[in-house]
Order: sequence, then C-alpha cells, then structure tokens
Amino acid sequence: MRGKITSYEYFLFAMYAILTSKIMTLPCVVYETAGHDAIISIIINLSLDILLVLFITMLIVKYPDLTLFEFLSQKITKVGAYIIISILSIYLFVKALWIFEETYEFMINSLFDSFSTLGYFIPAFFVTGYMAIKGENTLGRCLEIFAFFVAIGLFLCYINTAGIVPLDTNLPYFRNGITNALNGTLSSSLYIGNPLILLFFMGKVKTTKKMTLKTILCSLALMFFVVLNDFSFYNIMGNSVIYSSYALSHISEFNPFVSELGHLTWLSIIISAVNLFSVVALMVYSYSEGAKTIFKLKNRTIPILCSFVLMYIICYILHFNLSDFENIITNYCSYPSIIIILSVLLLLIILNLFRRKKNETISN
Amino acid sequence: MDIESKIKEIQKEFHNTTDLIVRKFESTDRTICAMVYLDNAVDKLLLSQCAIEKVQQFSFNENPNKNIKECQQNLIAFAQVENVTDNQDIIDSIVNGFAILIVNKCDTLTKIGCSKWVTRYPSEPPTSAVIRGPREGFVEDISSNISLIRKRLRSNEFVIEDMTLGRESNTQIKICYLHNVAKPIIIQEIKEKLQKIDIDGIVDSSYIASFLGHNRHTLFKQIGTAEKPDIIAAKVLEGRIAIFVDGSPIVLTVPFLLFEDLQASDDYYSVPAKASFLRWLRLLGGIAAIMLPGIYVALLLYHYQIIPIKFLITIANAIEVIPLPPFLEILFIIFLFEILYEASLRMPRYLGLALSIVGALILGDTAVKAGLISPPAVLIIAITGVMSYTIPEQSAQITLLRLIFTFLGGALGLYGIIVGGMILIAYLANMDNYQTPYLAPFAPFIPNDQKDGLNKKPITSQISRPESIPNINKRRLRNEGEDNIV
Repeated sequence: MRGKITSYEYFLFAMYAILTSKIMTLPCVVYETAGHDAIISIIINLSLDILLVLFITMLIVKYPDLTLFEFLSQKITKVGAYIIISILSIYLFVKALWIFEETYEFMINSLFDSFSTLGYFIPAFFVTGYMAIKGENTLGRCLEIFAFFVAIGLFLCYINTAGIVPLDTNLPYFRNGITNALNGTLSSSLYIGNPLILLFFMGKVKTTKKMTLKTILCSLALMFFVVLNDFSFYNIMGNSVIYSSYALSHISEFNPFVSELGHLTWLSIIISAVNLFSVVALMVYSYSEGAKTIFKLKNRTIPILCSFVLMYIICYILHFNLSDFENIITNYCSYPSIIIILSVLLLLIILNLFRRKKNETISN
Repeated sequence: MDIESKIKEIQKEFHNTTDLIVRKFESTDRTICAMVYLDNAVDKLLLSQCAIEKVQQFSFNENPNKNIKECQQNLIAFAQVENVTDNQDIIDSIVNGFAILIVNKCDTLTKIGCSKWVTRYPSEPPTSAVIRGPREGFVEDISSNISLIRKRLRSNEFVIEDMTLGRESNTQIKICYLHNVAKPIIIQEIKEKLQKIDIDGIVDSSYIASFLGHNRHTLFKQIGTAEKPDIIAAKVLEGRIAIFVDGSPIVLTVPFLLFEDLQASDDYYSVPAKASFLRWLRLLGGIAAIMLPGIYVALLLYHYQIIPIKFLITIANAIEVIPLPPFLEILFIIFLFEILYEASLRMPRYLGLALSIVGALILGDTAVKAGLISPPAVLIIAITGVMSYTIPEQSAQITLLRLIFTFLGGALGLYGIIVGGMILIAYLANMDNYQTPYLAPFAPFIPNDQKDGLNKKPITSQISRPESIPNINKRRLRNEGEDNIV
C-alpha cells in the first residue's frame, strides 16, 4: 500500500496548513496592527491561503505524474527549478523555525513555570524529524489519526460558545478604510503561505475525480470555522485582545459546558501542540525534500539533522526569546514573505493557464 | 538385503536410542521380518492387529521381492502404505510416527502410517471464552486442527501446503488459504520467508511468528494469532493466510492489523450496536490504560492548576503525608502490581488465589494505612490494570507503554505525554506488513472497511471483502441470481 498518498491525506495536509496558528496566536498578532479591522485581515490571510491551495491542487491534478522539480524543469529550465526550490526550502525552513519557537513560548506560558530549552527542543525535533524522515505515507497516516483528536477537541472547545458571543463589539469596520486591514495582513505575512508545502507533494498524490472542488469546498468550510473562532474571540475579549495571546485557550475558558468540568483549557493546548507539530513535520519534510533535490541526496535524514542543529543555534543566539524573533520577523521577513507568496501565486495562475501537452511526461 | 545389517544400520542412525523398537517376527514361510518404530509415536495395538498379524499369516514363497507389493496392497490395512526411497526417508518416516517393515532378503522397505501422538480433545480455549458462538478450540495436534478448519471451509478452493521446519524438531507446518481469495504474492512471500528459516527446532508457533514479521525488534505484534477455528475460518475468508504449526494450539494469520485485537469473536454473534459499543470501550480502555498513570504524574508534578478544585483538594489531602513524590509512588505501585500479577500467574491455582488476596487486600490496604502510598495512586493503577485486559492480546505491550508514558509524564509533564503519543502513532503508522498498513482501516482511511471498523455494521451490508487485506476477489456477498464477480 506504500506509494502515492491518497487524495484524502492530501486534503488533510491542506487543512492542517491552513489552520496552523490561525486560531491560536494569529488573532492577537493581527489585532496589534489592524485593531478593529483584524477580522478583515484574517479573511484576507485565509483567502490567500485558499487561493494557493486551489492553484496547487489544480496543478497536481493536471500533472499527476510529475514531481515539482520535473515540472519546473520542463517549464522554466533546470536552473530556474533549482532557484525556485531553493527559495521555497529556505522560506519553509524559516517558517518551521518560527512555529517551533512559537510553540516553545506557548508551552512555557500555558504549561510550565520554567522549562529547559533542551527538554523542549529534543522531543520536538525527534517527533517532527521522525515523521518527516519516514516520508509522505507516514505523514499522511499520522495526520489522519491526529485529525480525529483535533476535530473532537475543537468541537469540545466550541460547543455552546456561539450563544454567548456579542456581535457588535468591533463595529463599525473600515473606520480608516482598508489600510488597517492591509497592515494587519502584512504584519502577519509569515502566517500566510503554509499551503506552499503542498507543492512538494506534486507527483505523490493519487488524484481522484473532483479532487480540486472537494478540497476547495472543505477549505472554505475551514475558513468559515476559523473566521467564526476569531470573530467570537474578538467580540468576547473586546479591547483586552492584545493581552490574550492564545485565542483558542481563552475561548474555551468562556465555554460554559467545558468550564463546568473544570479548567479544560489544556484541551486547547493539546490540540494546538498536535496541530503545530504536524504542520512543522510537513514543513520539515518539504524543505528536506527540496534539499534532497538540490544536493542530489539519497534520503532526507542529513538535511533534516543539519536543519535542526541550525535551528537550535539560531534559537540559542536569540536566547529562545519570541519577542526577539518577532522583531526580526516584522522588520526583515514581512515584505520578502508577502513577495514570495504573491510571486508564487502569480506563477501558479500562469502555469495553470497553459494546457498540458500530450508529450509532457517525466523528463529524467 | 540382509535384515540384521539393515536393523543395525537404522539403530546406528538413531544412536541406539532405547525408544527405537525393533519387533522381529516370522511369516508363515519362515521369512524373517521386522517392524521398526518409535515407542509412544505409533498406535501399537493397531499396528499389531492390522500389520504384524497380517504379515505373520502371509507367505512370501521365498521370493519377498516379488510378493512385497501384494503384501502392501492387499494385506496391510492402513491408509498410508508406501515404499521407502532412501536412508533419509527411513529416518524422517520413523521420527514422524511411521513404522518401517523390513523383510529379509527383500530390497523394498515399507513405511506404514500409524502415528499416534499424545493429544487432548478440542475444548474451549481459556484465552478466548465466548458467551455466544462456537466453543471449539485448537489443540496441539496439527491433524485435529486441520480437521476443525476443514469442517468449516468445505471448499475445493481451500488449499493446504505442507512444509517441515527445524533441523532437529522436524516440525510440520501447514500454510492454508483460499485459492480464489488470497493474493498469490503474499503467499509466495510467506513461503519464501519460511523456507529461509534454518533453526534447530520449532517448539511453538511463536517461533515462526518471530521470523514472519518484517520488523524483528519491534514491541508490537506483527502476526495475528487465534486459538479458535471459527476465527481462523473468518480470517481466511477475508483473504488472510493461516499458518498451522504442529505442537501448538495457536494458529498464525498474515497479514495482521492492529485493529484486529479490538475485535472479538463475540462481536460477530451479537447485535452490531453492542459490538460497536464494546469496540469503542476496548479502544478507550486501551488508551486510558497506557496514559492514565503518566497523566496523573504529569498533573501532580507540573500542572496541578488544571485539575478541578474539588478533585485537587481530595488528592492533596490524600497525598499530604506520603513520603514519596508522585512519580516514584506510581512507579512503586506499578512494579508491585506487576510482581503480584506475575507471582499469582506462576503459583499453583489455590496458592495463587491466596496470594491475590494477600497482595491486593492486605498489602495494598496496609500500605495505604501506613501512609506509604496514597489511595488515588492505588486507584489509578488498579483501574489501568483492569483496563489493560480490555484488549488481552495487547496487555504486554500496554504494560510496557504504560511504564514509558509514566516516565514521560514524570520527566516532561503533559508535553511529554503529547510528544510520546505522537511518536507512538507515527511509529505505528510507519509499520507495513505484507502490503498492509498496520493502522488500516483508519490510517490510511478506507471507507469500505469501516463497516467492520469501530462502528460495526450488520453482515448484510458487508458486500465486499476488506480492502485493507490484499485479496484477488473483492465480492463477498452476492445478490440473488448474481454471477460471481471477481
């Protein structure tokens, strides 16, 4: 049964990539810049992600037997393919590092008074590295099992919450035009573009009928869910949003059903940890696959180990402090990140416009 | 051929073992004959009545080479009477319970199939007791086991292939499958793996199971086992291959899915809704048995703030006077529980009962009263100890995983439990045996197989065979008047 991943597994990859931190840390980050228009920023973020999913899925369905490198080699020469894969790999490495650091900060704030960095990073590297090294089949199967727990957890966190949400806390929107919303999107640009990992699964998916349509419909459903979560969060918390870094945890505190059982915010902690580590594993797989292609390696183990050492060194230099990370990301990564996303999106749209020629097969 | 020299030759091959019996006698024309066999391996009464007595009354007319064929065909009243080809054949036949007839001055030796090994009657196996359904269980005799399975699969498509393994034990192995269902590539792979085994002896089917698994250092079971013919018949019908080993009542099945251990034969003989409920209960019981002590330690050591306040007060009062930290306390009780379990299992039945009472009631109660261990910790271990037997086939794995998760909870708190759980799932998801994902039909998710998954549907809706198990005949249930669809 090993070989290509199923379309359901691919669909789950897309869902995990869209979800990532969007119900946890993103709402607070966006609110700092966008203020009352934060929810508009989040809708823009999600729309960009869904567009990426749409065009990547269309490409995968159109070229089911070509890997990313083979496809790019045919379209824009081998040199062009190497350049694009390198940029994407570095981009995903930075994103993985960011999520690792974000999760570390989250663990310290939610679970522990003090926690050794090695105690966090070694198990985190181990679990994500193991999943990435074992390949796309193992990743797909793991995410299928985790999806079950994440879905139940989210359901428990949200049950009955909708009824207590005031609807007018942040009205009216667009007080300063669209500027605040766009600034919010720009400041949170590193939260966008996770679906780029899907490119590295080109040629490894068993495509099915109406796969694109099904994936997009489910992505839209997920978008609706995320917007609902963040909308509830903004309206419940009001101006104190900036003091509430973890949306899902705070939402579940306002859940009368869950709070009767006790402090079950730990449920959101488990969901987030599982979700974030799963996405990191997908990213680690993707950039190591890129490194494997560029350096013509036989397996992904060496690039993964090297990247983990590099990640730990970077974190060590920055004293494992998320605010230092945030400063760097905001100052240096926002524009490159949004440029990469928009460029890839444009490239995908153009590539999807071309019809597949009959003689386009595997080149190598 | 001189009879004395042949007898000496055979005795020499067997190093003059005392249980090699040589029974000499004469036929009516005074031709000297001998019957060579292993004591306790043949049915002596039957051999005496149906072979020795008959040959004694026969006349070879001083030409045994000519008349031995008539003796074999018309005289010896056994189903299996054949010529022996060479010395190795003589040895193999004798160790397998055949008697060898040697006639003086006759070049042909005859082997007579009259084996009779000590065995017991099929009875309900202690590990697979059922409330409803068949109660027959396999025994240590391979022929009886094959008979039990043949009784349930009376089809010309049911094929049995023989093999002998073990240099010294010469153990009989039988590979059974449905020719029109099982995938030939899997059968071939199993045969190749079995043929590669070069070991001195196969004492039990578990020896074979160790060789058939793809990952030999894993903690998890890779080969299915069953002690009941109805279970094996059902598995063979799904496209699995069964491996019978002489001397073992445990029959192996390949390929194996982890989910199989959540299924019980009772599920198929009761209403589907109850079966579904019980399967969920087993799953939750298994997960809780693995994780509960670890979560308890993690909560007490690192995250007591997330325990509801009423629980926290109760627990705090209980552990206030305990000298050991929660991690050591739980470890101590786990080891105590396992020692008591192991001792009561090995003790004679009545002593074992007494030991259980002393261990569970007196030791546990005294330890709590003495303030060495707390009641919540005892409760946690007792609950998980019971829960681990909701999936009895996996109880050994659950016990070891429980220890690992207790360490993780003690060292890294809830974070350790989360990471441990993810690694465990990733490890299981990575396992493939005989083209079958270990976590199928859940990862990868196979919608068709969910009909016999956690939520069991009635047999009337299970139209096709499970896709998780490789097979060449998908259709299981046919509508009236429908042709065979392959």
